[in-house]
Amino acid sequence: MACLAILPRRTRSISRYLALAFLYVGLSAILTLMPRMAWAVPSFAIQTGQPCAACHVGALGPQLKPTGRDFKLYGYVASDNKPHFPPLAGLIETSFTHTNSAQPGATPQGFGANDNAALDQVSLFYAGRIFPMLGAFAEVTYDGVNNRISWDKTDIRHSREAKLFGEDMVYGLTLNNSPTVQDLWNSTPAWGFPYSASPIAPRPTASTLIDGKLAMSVVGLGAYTIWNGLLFLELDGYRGFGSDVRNALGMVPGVGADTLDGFAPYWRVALQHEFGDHYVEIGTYGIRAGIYPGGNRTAGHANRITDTAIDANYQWLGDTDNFVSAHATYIRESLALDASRVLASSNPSDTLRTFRADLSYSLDNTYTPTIQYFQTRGSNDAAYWGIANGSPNSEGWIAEIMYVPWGKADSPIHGVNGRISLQYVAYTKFDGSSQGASGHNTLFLNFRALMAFDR
Amino acid sequence: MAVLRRVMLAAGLTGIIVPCVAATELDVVQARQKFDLTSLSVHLGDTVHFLNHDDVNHNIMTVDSDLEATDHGLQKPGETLNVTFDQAGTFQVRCSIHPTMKMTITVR
Repeated sequence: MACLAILPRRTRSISRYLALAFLYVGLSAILTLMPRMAWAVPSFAIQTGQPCAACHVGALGPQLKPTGRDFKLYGYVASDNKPHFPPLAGLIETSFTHTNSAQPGATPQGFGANDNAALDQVSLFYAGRIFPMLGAFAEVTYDGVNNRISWDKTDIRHSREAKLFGEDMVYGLTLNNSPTVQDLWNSTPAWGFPYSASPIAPRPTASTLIDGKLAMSVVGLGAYTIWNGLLFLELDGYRGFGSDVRNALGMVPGVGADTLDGFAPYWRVALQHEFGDHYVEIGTYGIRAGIYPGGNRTAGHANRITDTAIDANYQWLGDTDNFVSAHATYIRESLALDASRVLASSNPSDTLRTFRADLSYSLDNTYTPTIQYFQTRGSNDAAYWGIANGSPNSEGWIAEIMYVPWGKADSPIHGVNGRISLQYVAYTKFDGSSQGASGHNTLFLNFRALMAFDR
Repeated sequence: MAVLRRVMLAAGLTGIIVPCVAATELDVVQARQKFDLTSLSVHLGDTVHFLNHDDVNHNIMTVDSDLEATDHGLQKPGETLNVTFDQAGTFQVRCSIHPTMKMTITVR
């Protein structure tokens, strides 16, 4: 891990990127040759004695199979009952980004207008059991693009079992820092496709509140239950942080960020069932929040934002090595802009609608091609969205192929996993404009290595 | 003579009864991270063979009515775990790795 300290924080040329890639491969090779210090992937696999493929589509997270959802539902505590080192794990991710047109001034500080290589992130996880009925997925990340350390996705869970109307019931509590990070399904935003995206290429400006805008800037406590393996219910309440806490947690911007007004309720209802080899889930989720734009309370009111979403999942379970899965979600956001219309002369109210659907086929738990269609549409409001033409509309496709060499029961190397993915994002509309949208088309080559330290 | 007849009768009855309660062996298949039975009734001394037809490990635990758990250890794909029930009662059988895998065995 100390080798990371000598990596250049930002590199621009392809040749330097290739050097970074070779360093990554070399590091992985060294790690595999350290039998006394068995680096494994991830700590969940060590705790359960299961290969990554037992829980994850494509033999690497975050896309979950039913077993993975159960593991999360029960609070990350399932175990092979052997003694293990504390469930610590690490992640290294590097990438190369090419956009169809150069993006002068639109890439992060220190990067060129195009063809950028980056050390995307280095993360440390505590992922696994804390006590017999308490477990956690908690992450601290060094962001190599913005050169900062911050807390990342966190979900601490406690679960128990009971009987209701003669059927099994699991219930529990979740303490988390991002709405939907605690969700069991990959149709919701926190763990939805794409599972990695370029940290450098410009992305559409407008997104709904639940689609990552509150990620890591809130803390929420929720209660959940699933009855008879069929009906899932969850209710959470979120609160925001003051600027001092935001600074301490490494969040950017610590000052001048949107802040929550009081308490934001989040709800989730889902129905799931297996019809032979076919798994189906349908559900709804949403959040209602008051937001002070830029933390500015001088208008005397907060914007009132309500996101209501529906989602669906399908998985074909007929073959443990080959797996078909599909996810879809539609989010409708209603915005009552009592603060922004005073502070920025925005419309008094807006709407924003997002739809995404993806389909993937995991071949031999090794090669996983995925295709996704995405669309965002909403009211014209240049002052609120900060888009010159006023339209938040964007639309396009993402195609990705992911290669995961290990993480299977018959893998020659146990305890190490990683992936190489090649992704292409094609825009037919970008920030309200079809003209020039394809200039934002992005080719994204991504390397990721995951390791857990076990004795 | 009466005592001898009683002893012979008892021995004869035992000879009849013993085959009825002789330990039997039963199979429970684990596939797709489920047991193929949700409940099973066995006699004292019977042995249940848990057959792992999955391609992942299982770890069978039996939990008695006092919630005392017995760990029967890791069971690799293709392996069979044999558990002899030599105490009467109702036992919940679970896999510690796959928490939704559960069944009940009643021992009489």
